[in-house]
Amino acid sequence: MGEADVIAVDHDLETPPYQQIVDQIRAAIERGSLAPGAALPTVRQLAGDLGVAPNTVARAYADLQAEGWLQSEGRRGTRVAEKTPAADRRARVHALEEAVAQFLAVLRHRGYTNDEIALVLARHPQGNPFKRR
Amino acid sequence: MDSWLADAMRLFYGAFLVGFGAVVLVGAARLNDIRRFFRRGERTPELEAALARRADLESLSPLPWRVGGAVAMLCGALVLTRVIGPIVGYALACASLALPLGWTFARLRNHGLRRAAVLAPRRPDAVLSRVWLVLGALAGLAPLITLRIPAYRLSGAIVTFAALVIWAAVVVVRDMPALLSGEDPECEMQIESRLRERRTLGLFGVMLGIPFAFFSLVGPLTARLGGAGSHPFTLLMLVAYLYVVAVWCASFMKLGVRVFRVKARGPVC
Repeated sequence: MGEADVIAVDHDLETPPYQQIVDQIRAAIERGSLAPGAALPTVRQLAGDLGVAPNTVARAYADLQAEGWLQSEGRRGTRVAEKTPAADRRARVHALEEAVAQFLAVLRHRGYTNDEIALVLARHPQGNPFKRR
Repeated sequence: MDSWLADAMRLFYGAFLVGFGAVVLVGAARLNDIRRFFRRGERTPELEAALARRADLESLSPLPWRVGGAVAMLCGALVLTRVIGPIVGYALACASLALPLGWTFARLRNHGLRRAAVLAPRRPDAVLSRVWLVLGALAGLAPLITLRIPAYRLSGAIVTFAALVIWAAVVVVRDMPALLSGEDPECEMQIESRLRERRTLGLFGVMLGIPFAFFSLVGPLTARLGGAGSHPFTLLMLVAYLYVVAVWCASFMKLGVRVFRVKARGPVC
């Protein structure tokens, strides 16, 4: 089980909890840590683990189903859709570009320069993601 | 009953309850220590750190155990001083230890600090099946057969109550939401899984054991009193209970019966 399979809800954020759940599940699917067809926890289990109301998780699942990320199989539970929006390479690249732009915007807002960001990424223990092997 | 046998039983059970209560009283903190579910060899620095985080999250108080231990000691003292009989003393001690257990896990179930979750379905039946939960509940009800004997009516009811409180704790632990901080998810999930498994199975074993010791006390007396054993329903309950205990023990000792499968110990994180 990878680290990417874990989601969390922060009640101090302005983003409502259901939206945080939606964003994190969508991100996990986009990253590929949730494969197509992978089973998700029941609404009750996820709500209990996150300490939120079952309606919050149900709404998040409903939104993700409406967007085509998840599919409900009735009593058998909820699974990642076999053909998700992320399966479209252009959409996947677009989502990544948006995520990187947000990430860089946050760092620049905190006063870091491009050089500083590049230096830290180059020295990062998980390896430089921009270095070609 | 022969007086020497009654005295021996009184002495044995009185001393046992005092000793048992003292162990619980002194070792209250150890009973809440989750590190005991992991061997020394398994405890890497990462695991120790994750266990410390988990212990912080659980923040279990030793106070209920201390109260339970003190009450068990008191019961033992009352048995030794002939204020109450050994069977009533045993029943009260069971209740005094079942209540802290139930309270502890009910509190853990309603813990308000849950914030992280793993995106994978959890299957409580993999730890202990619903069939065994039902069998466990029936086994917990078995002491009710002594309700037909006025001398054991009260103690039988108390032992049943204690067994059912622990049964409820089994259900709570088995179905409890995960408690993760999200700092080291993989390690925390391994801990979560181990704690759920060991606590569920351990509590279930205790629940089955409570009526067993009660029957071992009541049995000889019942036989001597001309017994309730002649009643078909009583016999059926007793045989069913013993069957459940036997199958459970056989599974525990890996004697070809598999009620549950304890995951092999190994590297955690």
